Amino acid sequence: MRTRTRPDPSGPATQGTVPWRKLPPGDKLAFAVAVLLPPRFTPARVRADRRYRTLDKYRFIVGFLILPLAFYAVFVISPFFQAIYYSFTDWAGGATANFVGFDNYVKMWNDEKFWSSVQTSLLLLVFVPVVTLALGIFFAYMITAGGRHRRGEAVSGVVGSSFYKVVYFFPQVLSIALIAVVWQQVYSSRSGLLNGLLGEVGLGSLEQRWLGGDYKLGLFATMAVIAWSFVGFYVVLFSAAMGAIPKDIYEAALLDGAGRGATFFRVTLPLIWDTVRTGWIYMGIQALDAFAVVLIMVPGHVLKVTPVYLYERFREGQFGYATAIGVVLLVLSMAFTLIVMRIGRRETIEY
Amino acid sequence: MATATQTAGPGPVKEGPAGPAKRTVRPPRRGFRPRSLVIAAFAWLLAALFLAPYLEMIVTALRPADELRDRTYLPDKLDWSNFIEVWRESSLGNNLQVTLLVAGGSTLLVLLVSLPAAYYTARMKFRGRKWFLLLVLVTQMFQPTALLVGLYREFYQLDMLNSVWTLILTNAAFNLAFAVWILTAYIGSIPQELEEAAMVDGTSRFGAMTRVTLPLALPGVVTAVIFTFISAWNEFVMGLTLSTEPDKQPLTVGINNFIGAYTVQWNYLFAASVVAIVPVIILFAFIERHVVSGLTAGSVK
Repeated sequence: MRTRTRPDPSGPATQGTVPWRKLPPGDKLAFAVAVLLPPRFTPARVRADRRYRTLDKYRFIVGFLILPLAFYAVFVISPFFQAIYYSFTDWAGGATANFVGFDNYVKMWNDEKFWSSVQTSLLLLVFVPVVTLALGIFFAYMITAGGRHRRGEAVSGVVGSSFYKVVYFFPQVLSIALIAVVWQQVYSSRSGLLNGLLGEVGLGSLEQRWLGGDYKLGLFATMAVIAWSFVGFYVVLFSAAMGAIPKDIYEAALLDGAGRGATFFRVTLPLIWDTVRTGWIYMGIQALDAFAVVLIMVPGHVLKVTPVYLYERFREGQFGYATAIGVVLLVLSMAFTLIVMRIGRRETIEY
Repeated sequence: MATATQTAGPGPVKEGPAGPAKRTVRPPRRGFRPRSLVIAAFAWLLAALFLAPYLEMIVTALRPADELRDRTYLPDKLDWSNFIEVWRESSLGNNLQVTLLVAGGSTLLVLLVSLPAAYYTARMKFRGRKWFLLLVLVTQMFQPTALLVGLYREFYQLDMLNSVWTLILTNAAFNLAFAVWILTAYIGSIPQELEEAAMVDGTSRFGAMTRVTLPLALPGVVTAVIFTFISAWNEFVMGLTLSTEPDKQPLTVGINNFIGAYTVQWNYLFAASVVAIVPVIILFAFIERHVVSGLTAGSVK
């Protein structure tokens, strides 16, 4: 916003400004090709012109920003608007797409299977971020401030904290598709790791067909996998945020007689709140998606999330209907973002 | 420079002169501490919980086919033939090639596009700068699944389904936001005075950018590159929908073809999975240090 759209008339840039019509043809040509040439090939006379400076500025903008903007336009913005448009059509993959108004949305309204998938997605959206972030904050706090007091330090992490950070972060670098494959085996009722371990420690009575058909069990299993795969990311994120808090603040709190709990709730949490809120939004969007985990790991008769339901309609060729579901998904994630921004708003504390 | 180093996780603790504040800190208790033992045990248990599925994956990949149904933790003998067979019998080689091309190509593309954009956004106060950054942020909120049909339609019209280029372009587009965001924060933390000094010494603006700022921003560039590579390597949804022929699909999708409607070939499945995760683990070990500073460059002061 500090850019001057109009140069100062008294500035040096106005020198040598001739009206466009009176410019010699050679200079006009120089202007035309100046867009593509480095400055040293442009005559000094033209370079002193203020129109050249404007041109130079926009040339820079165009050269540097046109590619990313084009990328966004073609691969993110355009599919987004196409999705909105095709959600009002009966496009089924062929050349024809008839405009059908709100038919797809009416169909969705009366589609019980769609609503049950939305219910599952909403449950994930509400509970997964809370669980994941709480665990992430807890581990991060243990890592940065959970160790015993050492001489000369107000707070210190547990021994081997960098090792734990790496181990917890590890699932984050793996494909969610592979994570789903691995956990499918872990949950497997006959040869799975989980049932095997339960039997081993004498809790054989708890052995389950984890993904065998019970909705609640399937939901918990899904939540556990998503939380497992994302918690490390938040441990790293939050421990970095906690590490950025000056140690003096902890020392002051300690001097005032604050215990571990009070230090956490009165000092640490308020100071990293901005990071927590950002993480909450990101995690919510991930939980709302949960596509690969549910598609690969959970059998369709147990539960479905909305993106999986969308994908199935897409595979059946009901493209119009699938895009309508996609639009609802986008609206849901935006609504979630706004709500979290709203209820997570607090005074930012500078330190 | 100060901001870049400050964000690199918990830094060294200040060892200031022992003022009066220091003396009131409780002295450490000596001797046997059951509490810290419990914490350590708990932490190790958790670490085991995080690692167990990978061990399971590796062990199953090495399990001979006739021992698959056994409920033993370790097979009687290790069988490397799973790797050879899965390579010969399936399209794994093609899938690996597709994944390599897609991850490499989209990383290169992201770098080419995001570096100038980030440099410009960090250095110039141009009209619409806030809007550009907001656009970058908002596009990160779109779920690929919701855009799936729109993208399918676009590539269907361009007759580009089942093409490696399609996957390169979509992966680049979806990772652009993160790269621009990180690089903007990183370049913004490099003092502009350095460039001005170079320009006073006679280099052009472009020379100042390539010879002063970019070398200093290299750690940020490495972070952006490796994150993009890992994310493109692991991508699943676009590979699943925009490629329908088994040998044109990336590794993550190809692996799931081992999960049949009625049977799952666990040993093949996990042998292929091991092939898919090894490069990522190597890369991760390589950049583990950069992860924290890179991730938080934008969010923490």
